[in-house]
This record gives sequence, structure tokens and C-alpha cells, in this order.
Amino acid sequence: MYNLKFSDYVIVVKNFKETGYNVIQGYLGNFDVFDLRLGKKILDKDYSIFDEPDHVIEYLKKRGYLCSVNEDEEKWVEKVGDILHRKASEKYHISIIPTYECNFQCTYCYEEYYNARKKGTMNKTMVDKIFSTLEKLDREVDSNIGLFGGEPLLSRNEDLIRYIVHTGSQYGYHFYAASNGFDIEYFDDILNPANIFMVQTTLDGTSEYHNLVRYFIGKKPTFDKIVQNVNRLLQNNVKVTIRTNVSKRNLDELPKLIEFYYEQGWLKNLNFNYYFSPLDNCANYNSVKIFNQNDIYSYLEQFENLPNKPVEIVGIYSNLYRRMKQYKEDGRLLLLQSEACQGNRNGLYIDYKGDLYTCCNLVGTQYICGNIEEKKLIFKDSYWCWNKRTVSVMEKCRRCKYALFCGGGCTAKAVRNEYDIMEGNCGNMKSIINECIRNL
Amino acid sequence: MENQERTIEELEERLLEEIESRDEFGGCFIHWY
Repeated sequence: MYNLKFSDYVIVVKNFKETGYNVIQGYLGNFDVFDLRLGKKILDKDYSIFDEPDHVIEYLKKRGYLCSVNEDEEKWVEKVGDILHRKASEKYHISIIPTYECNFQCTYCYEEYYNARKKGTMNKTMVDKIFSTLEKLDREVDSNIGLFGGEPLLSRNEDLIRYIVHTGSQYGYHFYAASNGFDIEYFDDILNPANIFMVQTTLDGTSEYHNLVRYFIGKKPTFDKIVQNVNRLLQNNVKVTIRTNVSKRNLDELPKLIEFYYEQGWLKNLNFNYYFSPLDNCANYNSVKIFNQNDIYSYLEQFENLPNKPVEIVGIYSNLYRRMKQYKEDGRLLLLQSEACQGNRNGLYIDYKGDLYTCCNLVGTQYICGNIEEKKLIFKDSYWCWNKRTVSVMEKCRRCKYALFCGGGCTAKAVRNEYDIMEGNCGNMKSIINECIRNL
Repeated sequence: MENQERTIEELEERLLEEIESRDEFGGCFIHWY
């Protein structure tokens, strides 16, 4: 047994009910639940574990919790990270920005602050160019295309949006949209499972608070109209996600919102989702105090009878936890990603001028990563930098057992704050991932 | 890894197969589960 050691990539977390330990091997994706006694030994790297019966040691070896003293574990992270990245970047993941214009004046809008392209709308020639180009690219394009803005579903652009969706449909694409949810009725004929199959909209609180921060130009209220439109979308069998942008000012709105969703009957609808996300974890753009995921999480933990656990409805937690839970239930490997987001795996936003961006937080700024030309995409160096930013190439990340869950942290944050983008930024990811694992 | 239940090649094969059937879209801004 002296040629064995504890792997440096084992994540050990006491489970939610405190009846045992949930254990994950961070580069092999193995998941096990051990009783409190054995789990504690793994957690503490207690070498008295070698007094356990041979079949236990054999099992721990097989699952990678124990490994050879000579094992080059960093190399494993690098290799597995490469496999994940190669597969995740096989396709382009496209979002189209028909305009940066918007009919809302949300008090905290980052685009209002950063975006230098507030006026202008895509023309149909550009739409044709986009789809004919996507057809000719060096790699496949994901069949789900995002619509982003500004506000992509503006009534005054209804002909254009219909043209995008109908043209895209001819090429086999389906669409989802991030919309403020106000002009929905103008798009009734294309909001259905075959065309725009999913809409994410935003409610920042119940009526009074929401109308204070997310109002129509001229400070007109928007809450009732959005609620009416969510019902309309659900009736059309369109999937709906409601996002809530959270700061210290609207924390107490969250339980009221959940209650409201319940009263509307939305929580029983399988096409309905909601989540709470902090304002803003990337941009530092105005006087709104930075708020983090953990603050929202801790606040929600005090409520005992929520229909969803906090881990299912708070920003990054929900994203990671729901995937982990699904993989666990399906008996899959718990290996999520070697990049932090789609911007590192061929995710591209194409704006109305044909310029390309890797990240929704950077659209309309100077951080253009390329542009669309007849039948091809022309990339700048920054695109390739984003594309190669994986945990496999970041030394600090390769040494981290959380690497293949975290993916190295937000690239836009590094860009905005002028960090070296090849440095991982960890933020609170360790505690977030631990909490997700605790709840598995 | 010696005596481990999978080699890197086996892990790769299984992982690629599993990723193929992942049904995920959106990203850090748009969530759907």
C-alpha cells in the first residue's frame, strides 16, 4: 500500500442530511457516497485508511480516490480538459443581435453604460448574409440560435424578426430570445415550439419594485404587461425562464416573487423556470453595489418552505447543480466543462453591423473579436485567445480539483479589469461547487 | 492510472458519447434546464 496516496483531486463534502459524505473524483468524474467514518478519512487524507479491508482499498483505487504516488494528476486534468473542450467547440453557438435599441430604460442597464452602438438595426441583406455564411462555415452550427439585444422583440422590428426566424427556419434553425417581455403579442405567430421556442424575460420584484427599476421609456410601468405575456407564452407552449436581477435593494422581493409565481400557477408548468442572479458580477459599471451569489443564497436559506431549494434557483448554483444532478441521476460522469462559458467554446454574438463578440457582457463595445464576411467569419487574435482559454492551459486551474466544474472563471471580468485572461479567476466558485455537491 | 477502472482512452470514449447526448443551450446569461 505504500505506493499509494490520496488523490489531490477528490472533493469531499458532508451531504445535506449529514448522513454521509458526497465524494467526487475531479478529473475522472466518479461520484460516490461514503458513510461518515470512511468519508471523514478521505476528507482528512487519514492514512489509517490503509487499515481498511483490501476490497475497500481496491474500490478507492479503482474510483481514483487513491492513486499511485507517481501519478501525474495535472496531466489528467489537462487531457480531460482537452477532450471536453474539443467536443464543446465542435459547433458554433450563435446569437444574433438585430438591434441594440430598447424600449425600456432599466436603471442598471450595463449596455446603456458601455454600449457605444445604441442606434441602428439589422437589414435583411445582413440577415441573408448571416444565414448563407453559417451554411458555409468550417464547422457545424448549433441548431438553436439566440436572439439578443438591446431588445430583440421590439414591435417596430416585427417584420425583421419574422424575416430572421423564417429565413433561419429554412436552414433548420430554432430560436430562443432574451427579451424584456413587453411587445410579445406582436410576435404571436412565431412564438411557438417550432420557431422561437424559449424566451427568457425579467421580473425584478413584485409590481411596485419592478416598475421602479424596469420601466418603459417615459417611466411607464411594465409589470402587468410582462405577466400577461408570460401567460401568453406558456399558453403557446413556449418555454419561459424568468430572471431576477438581485441587489441588496430587492432581496426581500424574492420570497414574494416565488409566492407570486405559485399563485399564477407557473410553478406547476414544466415549461416554466426562474432564477435569481446578482447585479452585476462582471461589469462594475455604476453605483449599484456588487452583490454576489452567496449573498442571495444565504438570504434564501432562512426560508424553510420554498418550493425550490436555493441551490436550484440562484444564478451559477442553479446552472451547475441542475447539470450535476441530472448527470448523477443518469449515471453519467460528473465532468462539466473545461471553459467558464460559451464564449470560450465558439459562442458568438453577431450584431446588426456584422461584428462578432464572444460575450453578452461585451456586446457593442470595443471588444469586437471579428466580423462576418461573405461566406466566412474573420477572427481577430482576441477570439483565438478566448477560444484557447481552458483549464488545460491555465497552470493554477490545472492544479485545482474544482477545475472541471468551474472552467476558470469569467473571461469578460478579466478583460474588463485588465487581468491576464490566462489567469483563472476563482471568485466564490469553491464554496458554490461544494454547496452544489452537498445537495446532490 | 494503474489499476484504475478506466484508461484515458476509455474515459474519452465514454465522455464523448455522453456529451453528444447533453441537451444544453444558453449560457451564463440565459438559463434553461
